[in-house]
Amino acid sequence: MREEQFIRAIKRRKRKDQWYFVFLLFMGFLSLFPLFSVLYYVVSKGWFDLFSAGFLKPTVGTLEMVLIAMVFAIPLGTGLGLYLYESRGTRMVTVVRYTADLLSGIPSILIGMAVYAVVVISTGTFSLFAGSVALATFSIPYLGREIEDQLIASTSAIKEGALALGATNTRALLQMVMPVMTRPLIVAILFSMSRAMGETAPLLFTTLGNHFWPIGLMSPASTLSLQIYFDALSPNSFVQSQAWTGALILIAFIILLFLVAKWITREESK
Amino acid sequence: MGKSLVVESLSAFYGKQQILYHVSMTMPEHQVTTIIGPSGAGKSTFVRCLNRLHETTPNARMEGSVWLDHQNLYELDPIIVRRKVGMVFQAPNPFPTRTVFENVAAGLRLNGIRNKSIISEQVEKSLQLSSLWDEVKNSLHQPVWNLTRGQQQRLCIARALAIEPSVLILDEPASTLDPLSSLKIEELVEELKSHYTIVLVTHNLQQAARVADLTALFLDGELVEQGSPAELFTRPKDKRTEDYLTGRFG
Ligand SMILES: Nc1ncnc2c1ncn2[C@@H]1O[C@H](COP(=O)(O)OP(=O)(O)OP(=O)(O)O)[C@@H](O)[C@H]1O
Ligand SMILES: [Mg+2]
Repeated sequence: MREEQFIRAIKRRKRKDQWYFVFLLFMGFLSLFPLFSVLYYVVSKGWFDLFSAGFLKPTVGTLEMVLIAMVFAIPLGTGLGLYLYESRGTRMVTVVRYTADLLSGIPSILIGMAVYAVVVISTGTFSLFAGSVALATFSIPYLGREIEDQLIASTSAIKEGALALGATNTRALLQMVMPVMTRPLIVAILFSMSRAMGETAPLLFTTLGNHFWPIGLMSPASTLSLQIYFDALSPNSFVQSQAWTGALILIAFIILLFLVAKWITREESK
Repeated sequence: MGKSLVVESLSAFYGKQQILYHVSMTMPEHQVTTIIGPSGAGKSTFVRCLNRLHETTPNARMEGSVWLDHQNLYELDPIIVRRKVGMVFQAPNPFPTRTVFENVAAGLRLNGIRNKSIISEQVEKSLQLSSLWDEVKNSLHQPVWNLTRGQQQRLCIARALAIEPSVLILDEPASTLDPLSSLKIEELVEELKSHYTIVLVTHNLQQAARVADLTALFLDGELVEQGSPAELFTRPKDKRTEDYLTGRFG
């Protein structure tokens, strides 16, 4: 009698478990749906034009702009992260950290306006360079905070280990802590690159867009995101369809960055 | 070689909060001094004052003096102090991107020693001392994550010994290890005391009683009682010691 009850209870639980599993599966599909529908649309509508020469220019523009932004953002962001970590506990750091959070979270169009006021007006021209500055402006605080978090989370013990051996603070940081930071640092850089690639709003005020070669540093330039924006607004349906191709290229780059980041962190956990 | 460590009226603070109150004690040379007490009593803070690691924490401050062989450690450069007073931490913290060999050599290199034969000699000697040599001699140039946690902790001991400190501090070195690894560390401590002055923080009272020549009990930032383990554990002078030992504390 008791045993029967027991078996029934188990059966009931199993059934519950199955329902729960179905529910989870459903939720999983639901959350993947937007992603796959975007991918489906972009690929199906964009692949026709993929190899037409028209996309070379915005692709080069995007890569050039993001790379130049990283030339600023990587050293400055790393410096910011080290400063936040090293001087923690002081009031100044609290202010800087708060500002950094604000800056990396602020609507990027506002950053575009600020860079317009500073760079575009002072150099007298919209330019790829001004776009890089805008992208760097929110990448720096993002990288700085990422690096600070990583330093606190994973390396305090290592740093103390080095200090306890008579290392100077600088040596402990550069020789023992930074090597451990390489991978998290690369991953943070990849993520900030992928965000920078997709940004459009700040570029409207700084880089403007341009349909002609060559891509000069100090002249208006085209990027994938700008090209998507302008083409999609066009009344011409052929031009509209080019927006999809631009989107496809952009998504391909972003997926590539994510895959590289994934691969790096997988190596790490081995 | 070991030298005795004398602490005079040491107080320590984190910001405005006082953690240690006028602690005075002597840790004699070639002896094991164990420090016991409930969590939060200030044991780690105390030993971190001995090698001046305490002051690397933001807003941390200490008062009083620590003497090693008639030298006031607080008048020396902290870098020099840390070469004289080595430390092993609660959780093994080998340098993860370095090999076994390079972990032990790290302290030598950080202190500017470049001579290869001196370094490899010192690495072998330190690994012998921490009784890890036989286990790792064939994998010296392997990454450290291949070692077990117990081996990693003995590697950290070797790393600390490589720069030939006078004092070795171990802050609960076995508390995150399995019983067998823990026992190995304990045996190691006994062997090492002929070369060093040893300060061992432990939660394990049996262990404290087994290895100690001298035991000190900390409660709420105060040194409540110190003495030979035989005395302290069997005939405590202070009521609070008795309460702690019989489990009426923390
Ligand atoms: N970085 C810090 N900032 C502020 N307070 C701290 C800091 N580190 C420790 N404390 C405080 O100092 C007190 C003593 O801590 P300590 O780590 O010395 O205790 P302990 O005796 O080693 O404890 P345990 O046995 O848990 O290791 C605790 O109240 C703790 O909260
Ligand atoms: Mg502690």
